[in-house]
Amino acid sequence: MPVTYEPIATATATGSFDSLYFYSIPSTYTDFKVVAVTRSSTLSDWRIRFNNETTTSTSYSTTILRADGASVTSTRTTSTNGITVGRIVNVADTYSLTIIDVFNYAGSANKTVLCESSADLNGSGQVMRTVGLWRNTAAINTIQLYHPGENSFIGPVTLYGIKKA
Amino acid sequence: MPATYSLIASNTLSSSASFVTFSSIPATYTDLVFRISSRNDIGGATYGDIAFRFQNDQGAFYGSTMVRGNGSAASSVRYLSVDSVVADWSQASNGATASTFGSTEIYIPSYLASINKVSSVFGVGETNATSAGIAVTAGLYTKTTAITRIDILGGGGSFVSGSSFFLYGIKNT
Repeated sequence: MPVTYEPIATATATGSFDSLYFYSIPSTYTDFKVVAVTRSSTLSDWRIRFNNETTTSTSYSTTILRADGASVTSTRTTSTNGITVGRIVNVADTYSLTIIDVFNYAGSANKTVLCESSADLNGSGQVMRTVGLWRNTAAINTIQLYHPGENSFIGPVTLYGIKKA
Repeated sequence: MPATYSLIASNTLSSSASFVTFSSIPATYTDLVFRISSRNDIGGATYGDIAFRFQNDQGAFYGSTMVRGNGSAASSVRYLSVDSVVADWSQASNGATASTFGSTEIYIPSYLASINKVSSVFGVGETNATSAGIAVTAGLYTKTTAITRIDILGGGGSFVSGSSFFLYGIKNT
C-alpha cells in the first residue's frame, strides 16, 4: 500500500506571529490539508491567502456557518483579500483547532477551501464551518495564514499532502 | 517516507456496551482520529448523542459548543463543566431504520502537549425518515495531561452490537 498522507512541513515556533507562510509547496500531491493548533492575544477570526496574492487582491470569498452555544448564523463576504478559516482563542493553555482542506490544489480550476474551526472555552467560544473560494486557476505553491494585527502562537501548524495513488 | 496515518486500535462490538475504552495509547503520534460507525439503544429516537472522556477523568472538566440540525431546524447549544465532551445528534439511535448506523469522526490534535485538549467532532445519524441528526462540535478538556486513555460513551444509552470504533494516529514528522 503506497503512503498517501504525508507531512510536507510543520511550524512549531514558540514566539508570536501575525502571518505564517508555507513556501514552495510541491505539486506532487492531489490535495492538501492544514492542521493548525493556535492561540492569540485576542479572540478573533483568522484567514488564509495563496501565492502571495495579498492586500490588494479581491479574488477571495467566504461563506460561514457559525454557532456560539445560543444562536446559529451564516454570513458571506465577497471580493475580499482572504478567506476566513476559523476562530483563534485567547485563554492561557487553551488553543483552537483549525483544519483546512483544499482539493486539487495544483489543478487549473478556481480553488475551493473547506475549513473546520473548533474553539470551545468551557462556557464561551464558537464552532465554525466555512467554505471559501479563490478565483484563480493557478496551482497553489504558497500558503499564508494570517491574523491581522494580532500576535498569535503556534502549537503546531502542519501542512499535509494527500496523494490519490 | 514513513506512514503518517496509522491504525492504532479498533473494536467492533459483538454485544452491546455503554462505553468503549482505548487505553495505553502510544505517545508516538501528533494527533488522534476516531472514525466511528455506531448506533445506541435509546427509545424511539432516530438519532442520539455521543460523548467521550480522557484518562477516565469523570470530573467537571469538559465543555462543548455545537451546531446541530434535524432536518427541520438548526440550533446551537453548549455544555460547560460536565464530565465528558458531549456531541449531540451525532450517531444513529434505536428508532433509526434497521441496519442503519451513524458516522462520527473525532479529531484530537496535540494529545501529548501540555495544553488543554481541544477536539473537533462531526457526526450524523441519517435514516431516510422525517427527522435525522447532524452536528459539528467543538470540545474542550481543561487539563494539560498527556492523553493515554479515551472512553467513547453511548450518550446515555448503550452502543448496539455491530458498532465499530477505529482509532488512528497521525504523525507530523
